[in-house]
Amino acid sequence: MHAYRLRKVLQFGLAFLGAASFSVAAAQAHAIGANAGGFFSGLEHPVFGIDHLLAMFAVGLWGAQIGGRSLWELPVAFPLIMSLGGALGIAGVPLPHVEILIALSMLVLGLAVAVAWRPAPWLSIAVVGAFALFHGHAHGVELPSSANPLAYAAGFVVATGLIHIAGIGFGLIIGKAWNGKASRAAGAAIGLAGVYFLMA
Amino acid sequence: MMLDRLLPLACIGVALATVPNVQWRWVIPLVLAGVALGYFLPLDIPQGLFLAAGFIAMGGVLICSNIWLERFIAPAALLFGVLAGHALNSLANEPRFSVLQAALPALPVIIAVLGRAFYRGWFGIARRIAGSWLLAAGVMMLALFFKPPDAAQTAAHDPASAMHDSSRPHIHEPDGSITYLPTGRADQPVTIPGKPDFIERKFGTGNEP
Repeated sequence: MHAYRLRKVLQFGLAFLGAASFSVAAAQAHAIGANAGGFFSGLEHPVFGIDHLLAMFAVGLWGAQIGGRSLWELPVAFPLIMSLGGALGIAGVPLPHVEILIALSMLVLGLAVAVAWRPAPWLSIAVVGAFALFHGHAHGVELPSSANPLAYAAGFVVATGLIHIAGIGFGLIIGKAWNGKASRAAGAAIGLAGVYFLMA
Repeated sequence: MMLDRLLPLACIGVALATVPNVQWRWVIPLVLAGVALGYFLPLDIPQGLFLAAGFIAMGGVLICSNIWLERFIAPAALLFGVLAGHALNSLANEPRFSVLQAALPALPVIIAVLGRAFYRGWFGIARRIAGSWLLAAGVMMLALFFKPPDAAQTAAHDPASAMHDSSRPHIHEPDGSITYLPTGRADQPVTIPGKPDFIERKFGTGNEP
């Protein structure tokens, strides 16, 4: 049992390393610099924005909980649709109630994990994609004012992916404990945080 | 150091390491032909568009399934070769060329080869996730490239406005230009070009009491 779990961790670690190495190359590629609004600003924006962080973590956690193709389909769909929302934000196309829907995304995704909802793949992608559009829009509106928007865009997309991977890792390694109750408890906590953000 | 322009090499390496049945005889000559084309053709591609196109192409290749990857690997190899050749041409004129930095794109390729060798199933997941990041970043960069420049930011980066000395008395003309008022001794005639009676109209002609 221990050997199996160790093997799982090693497999996940290598997959993570493969994806992360691209981010390193991309980071170097953008002449990172220490300027505000550069790659690291983009990288830290979703991490220090607790609403973005929890929603994206929940996406990875949900993918791990559903399993199968959803394990990678949800974390792949999120940044792709998020980038479309970001493009709308950059172009100045307004979307209604962005902040409310970001908070709602925490509640819905957290609840989906808490009740272990396993919808059809297209439906889970649609749910994640709908919320990703609003997360992307919030980022896109802030992009043009940053000092190095190209590096900023690369930074926050990489951070988004890393948070998803953290969610998947939690779901696969820790979340299966106590018959999956650890994942469900984490989902419930994210849902409660969503309620707090909605009321705040 | 325009290391970003070498990223296509990393991407083609990862793609080659991932395709189950790589047609090496076709792909390697296509990459080399692309490198030659990109190096010798006088391409004048704006940096923002180059990055966006490169990221979208890389993400697209990494995200597609193995079946589609086998179909697209030949044209993708030519495209990445052109991008890499263009990058090498730019690097040749780079005054501070660092071999260590230039070798950095090899890191994803090495990890791709190891990942495919040991954990093929899991590596496919990592490849697609990385592809979605690159594709998303490319879409955002494309949107930024086509966004018209912000007027305030343009003014802030305008060298003429950067030289504006607001500590000196001045007036802003309707056409946006700035006219500095003379600050010499009191007996010098105070006139503004094009507005000779400005001071008189403003303060009158009477002497101070």
